Amino acid sequence: MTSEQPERRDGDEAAPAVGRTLLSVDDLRVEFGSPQRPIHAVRGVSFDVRAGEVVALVGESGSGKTVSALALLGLLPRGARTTMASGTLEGIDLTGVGDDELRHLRGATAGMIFQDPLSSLNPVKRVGDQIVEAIALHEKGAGRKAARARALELLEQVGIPDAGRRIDEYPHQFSGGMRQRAMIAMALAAAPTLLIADEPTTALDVTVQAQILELIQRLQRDLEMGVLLITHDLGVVSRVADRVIVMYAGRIVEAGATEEVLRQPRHHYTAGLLRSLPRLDLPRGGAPVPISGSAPQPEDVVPGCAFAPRCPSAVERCAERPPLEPSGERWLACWEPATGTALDAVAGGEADAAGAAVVPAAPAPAAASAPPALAVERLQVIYGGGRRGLRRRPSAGVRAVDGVDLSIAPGTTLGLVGESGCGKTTLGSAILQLVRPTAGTVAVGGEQLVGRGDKQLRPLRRRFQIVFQDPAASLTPRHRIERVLSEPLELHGLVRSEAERRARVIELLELVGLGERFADRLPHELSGGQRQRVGIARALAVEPELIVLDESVSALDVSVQAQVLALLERLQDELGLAYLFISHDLAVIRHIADEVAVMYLGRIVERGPSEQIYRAPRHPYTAALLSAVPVPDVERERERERIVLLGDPPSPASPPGGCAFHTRCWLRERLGNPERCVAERPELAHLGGEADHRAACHFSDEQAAHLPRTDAVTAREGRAA
Amino acid sequence: MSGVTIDPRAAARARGRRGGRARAWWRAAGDAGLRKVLIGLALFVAVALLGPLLWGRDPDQVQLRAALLAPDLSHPFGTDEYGRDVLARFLSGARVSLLLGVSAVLGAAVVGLVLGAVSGFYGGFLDGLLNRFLDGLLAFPALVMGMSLALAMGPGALPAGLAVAITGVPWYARVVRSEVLSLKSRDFVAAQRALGASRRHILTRHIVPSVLGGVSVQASLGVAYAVLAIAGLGFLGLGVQPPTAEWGSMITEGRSYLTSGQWWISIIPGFGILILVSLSVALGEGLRDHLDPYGKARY
Amino acid sequence: MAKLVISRLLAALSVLFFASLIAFVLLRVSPGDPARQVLGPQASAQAVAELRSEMGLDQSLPQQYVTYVSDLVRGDLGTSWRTRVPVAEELSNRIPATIELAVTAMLLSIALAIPIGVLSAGRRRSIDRISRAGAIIGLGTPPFWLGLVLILVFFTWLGIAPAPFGRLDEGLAPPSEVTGFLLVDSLLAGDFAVFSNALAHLALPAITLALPLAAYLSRIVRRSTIDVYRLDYIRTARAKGAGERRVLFRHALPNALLPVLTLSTLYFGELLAGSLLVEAVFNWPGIGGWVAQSIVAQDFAPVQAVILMGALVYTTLSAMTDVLYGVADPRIRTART
Repeated sequence: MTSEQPERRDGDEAAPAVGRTLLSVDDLRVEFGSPQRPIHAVRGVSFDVRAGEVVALVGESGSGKTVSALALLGLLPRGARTTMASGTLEGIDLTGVGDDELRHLRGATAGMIFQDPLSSLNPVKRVGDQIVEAIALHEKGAGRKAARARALELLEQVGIPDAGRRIDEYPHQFSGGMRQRAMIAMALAAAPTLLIADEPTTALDVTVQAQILELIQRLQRDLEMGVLLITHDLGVVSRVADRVIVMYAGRIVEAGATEEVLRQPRHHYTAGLLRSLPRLDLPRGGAPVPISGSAPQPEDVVPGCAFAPRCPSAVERCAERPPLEPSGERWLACWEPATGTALDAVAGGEADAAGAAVVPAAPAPAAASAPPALAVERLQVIYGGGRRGLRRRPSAGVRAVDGVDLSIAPGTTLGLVGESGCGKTTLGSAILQLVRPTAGTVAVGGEQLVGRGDKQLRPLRRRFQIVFQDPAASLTPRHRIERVLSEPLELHGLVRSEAERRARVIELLELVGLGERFADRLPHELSGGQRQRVGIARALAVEPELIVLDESVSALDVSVQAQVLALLERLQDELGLAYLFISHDLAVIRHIADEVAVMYLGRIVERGPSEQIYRAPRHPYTAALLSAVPVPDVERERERERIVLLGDPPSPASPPGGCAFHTRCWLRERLGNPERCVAERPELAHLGGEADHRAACHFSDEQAAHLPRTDAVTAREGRAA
Repeated sequence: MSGVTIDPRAAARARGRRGGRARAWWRAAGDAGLRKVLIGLALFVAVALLGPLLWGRDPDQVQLRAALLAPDLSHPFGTDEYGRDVLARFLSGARVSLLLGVSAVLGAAVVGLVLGAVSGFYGGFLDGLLNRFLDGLLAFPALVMGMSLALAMGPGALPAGLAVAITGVPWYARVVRSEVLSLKSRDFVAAQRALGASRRHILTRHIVPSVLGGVSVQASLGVAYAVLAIAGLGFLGLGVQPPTAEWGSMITEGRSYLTSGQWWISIIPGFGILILVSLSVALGEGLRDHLDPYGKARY
Repeated sequence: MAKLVISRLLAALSVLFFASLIAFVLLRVSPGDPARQVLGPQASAQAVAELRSEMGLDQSLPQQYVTYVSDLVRGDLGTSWRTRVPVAEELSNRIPATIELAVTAMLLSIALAIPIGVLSAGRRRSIDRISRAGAIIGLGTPPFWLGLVLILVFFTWLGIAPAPFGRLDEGLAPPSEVTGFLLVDSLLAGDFAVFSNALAHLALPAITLALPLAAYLSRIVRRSTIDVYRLDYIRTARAKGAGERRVLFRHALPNALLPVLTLSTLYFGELLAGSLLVEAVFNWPGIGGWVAQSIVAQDFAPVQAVILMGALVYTTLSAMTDVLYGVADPRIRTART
């Protein structure tokens, strides 16, 4: 694989020439556990990274991508056994390197950043001191003053505003994006030639992710570094990576230039992964197609192709392991490579697969006369209001939800989208009366909920249910699945006999694609996807009309996520359920929602039919969100001119006055910063001519003229149609 | 909030948790640690309950002619100043320590569990008041409480046991309360509320069963603490009163003979305390590891 | 930060209030009549009644409580009826001996616990096994018995320890009193003979008191070190090239020792209680022996005073710990509320 010539970015003059090999590793293997029952985290991986290129290591959880990177630098926890046929970092042999030398390589030659910048920074040390430490460790001669000056310079370089003051603050005083910037500054402190970034934007909001990706790209070019980017997100890959290496079950299955691999995946896993991804750039018809089954566990022995059991094109020969071999500039481990393009795979999506690809459901015919499944009016939730503290000062409190109107017709889905801290989860809880609203009304199927006592509410709770994000935390530990599903039946007196109860439990399990055999299992014996199915079955047990899905697929791997999404759609068709689908993931929302509401700092800023919002957003925040999401299509990512929002979302405890978005608004800037945005809060107003599309912006009519050269969303639609 | 999270560490953790629990069960059932401790405790209980019957001598029988005999075949642990058989007194002391210690801990654990669960789950004014009161109680070590009760009620087994039980309550209440507080905010509780379960149902069916593990760890350590405190009170003459054989008071009785060569009277009962307390501590540690193989729980 | 201090002070006051209430109620529900105890069985009923009214026992319980608290606030801890000495005076004479013992034991146990705990959190399984067994046995050892064993071995058999009576050999004159702590006072006076003799007397009781606490703390240190080592920022420190020694001392320990700080103060009360027993074993002239005698004689005032003092020490320490915690942890120190 070392012979491979990386694909160059054509027409990109700013990019430095791809140079010497920085990192090269051959047949890397990592095992955990006892030698008798080893757990194979990495089963033989070879790749290299050259100066001036970004290489992405991609895979789902358990594929071994992070372990590979940590193993190279000796950062795995105790008990891991690492072997490799050969490995060099900047010409230094990694196989025979001593602890001390390896220690010096970390930081000085290869800098690292991690997924969660808060836990990755030492909470009791000042940010500046942590950077100074990184400098001092590798430049023994550097005086404290010089090191501090350099730290300040680094903080400015990574775009920390007011760095002179910030340098003496602690990590908890930084926002999420700032922390990741500080991590990057620390990783760059000793001027490494290689940067290893392990899921650097996974914990960040999409607008902040866009900033950090830009930063990494800029630094990589300016400093002519090599970057090894570990990620699960093919969108991120297409935005920044020159080459991509796809891993599955501890091995590389496919590698090559990003553009090639994403446009024309040759391995069925890569193709399947692309197919199972909900696409922001495709209308709802292009449904994700799940990969059936689940990946092998690291403790399993895999004699042949690890993907064969899930592969639609598996042949007899797949029982034998295909070697990773070059074909032109691509590397591939498959006996029967896929043909055709990703686009074919997506657009032509096998419509029958799991019955997922359905045309957007038209609102149910009865909708006109029946009351809406959910009607929310002027809903408000204020945390910590009233008089507080020793002097009993009145406090305004945090307006987590501030005057929200929503309605959902029976049998349809409303997607509620927003970044972390925007109040979407609180809104969901307030609708369910898990948090008591401060003001406003909530009606489910015409039945008013606000103002009822706990006891009066209990019988009504049958009609609306919730499915949470973390399927493990939402099931009581040590309760068997049968008990989990029986409890709601008994609470509401829905079964009269033991036999009826048992039958209903089995019926529910089958409804969500699990069999009777799951009844006796404990939650921790199930996989994430299976647990989420149990969570859904529990919600269905009481036959609700409305289900609030609070980030219900966000914790799942993409291939499993597609399975659960397909299940949700099937259930909606069969049972006529209404969904309030809360998510930060715009692509998932586009795929599942009939209508969309965008939330920012406790308020709905834009609302309307899904296709209209995605095709022609009318609020600058929505436009920025859409622009920030990377899509797995290199050509498109390169064509796009992006809106990058500055800074992080403000704290909901002290939202800006006027239009809450004015502090980050790109449109306002282009319009010459009109005073009106600061002085007057825009109402969520009807837009002329478009059915039920509303936006809360004084200048929503001017936006279209200022939108950047769009955004292939429309372009692609032409092609896909 | 992550995207379509394919966090390898989360997955590894999830698997580790599953594998870890299986390993913990296996270890508990088939391997050294906890199993040895359980066998040891079973032996101890058997000796305490059956020992006096098997070793026929009367622990209270005074035989002045046989006073201060060194250990030999007829008196394996020797005799004390009144010629009483130290082995018989040792066995009877084991029973006293075990019964008094365990019943004090049971009482404290039950009261602490109820107080902690109620105050943690319902919160509010009651919670604040109860907390302050329990914090106040925490300022009294069992020994000090034992002294006060001995003063108020006169020394004896009842005030000693009561002192240990009362001072134990805040410890259990604290453990339970903090665990209930963290469980309360978990999604599975919200799911129950959304399903229309009453608060009582959630507390008794979903929360309390989940805290029992933590309580059992605390209770094992509590037995250790109780046995030590009761022996300490006995040593000061404020606990179980003579002539009943109790390890703490036996140590006091033998004290004056320590320097004159008859060390067994004091030293042997000390080993009894040492064994029982160490076993209880080991049980607590073993249970903790068993319930939480990754050692996340705090002392 | 100021807010933290104030709120901790208020909390400490309310704990003290409850503690005083508990101490008061405990000793007033006594079945015996203190006046009768003082005067003995021969005294006339009238004399008893007069004394009762003098002692305030004929007032209602809430009234008695108010009197009791207002006396307390004025520093009046009552008078021992047994010795006729004001409790406050006796207490101040005896307390240095107890504090000297307890603090020495505390420092000794921390000095033992941190290295043992850190080592057993390390790579070597064998060290962990040994220290775990040691800790379990250490926790299982009754301190008063351990004291007797140490006396038996080091005084009776080996003859290297001084006789277990008091803080100094009988012939030696104590140094002029400045702090009341013999170790400090003898050094101030430059009297090394007294210093080494006081140290020899202190050694066995301090070890007796320290070992169980060291056993307990070593497990806490181990657990908290392991917990910290599992955190991401330790990996960050390694990723920037920090060596293991630096990772331990600069990154892991400062965070790992925070809970140790809390727990050792929480345990100081237990240490004082333990010193009551150990003082009895070594005939240490602290408050332990005094309290024991007072209880036997049903002398209320000293017992009540010692209970309250214990509660005061406990609440002060735990309030101080919280504040210290705040100083040590920037997340609390810089919080605005």
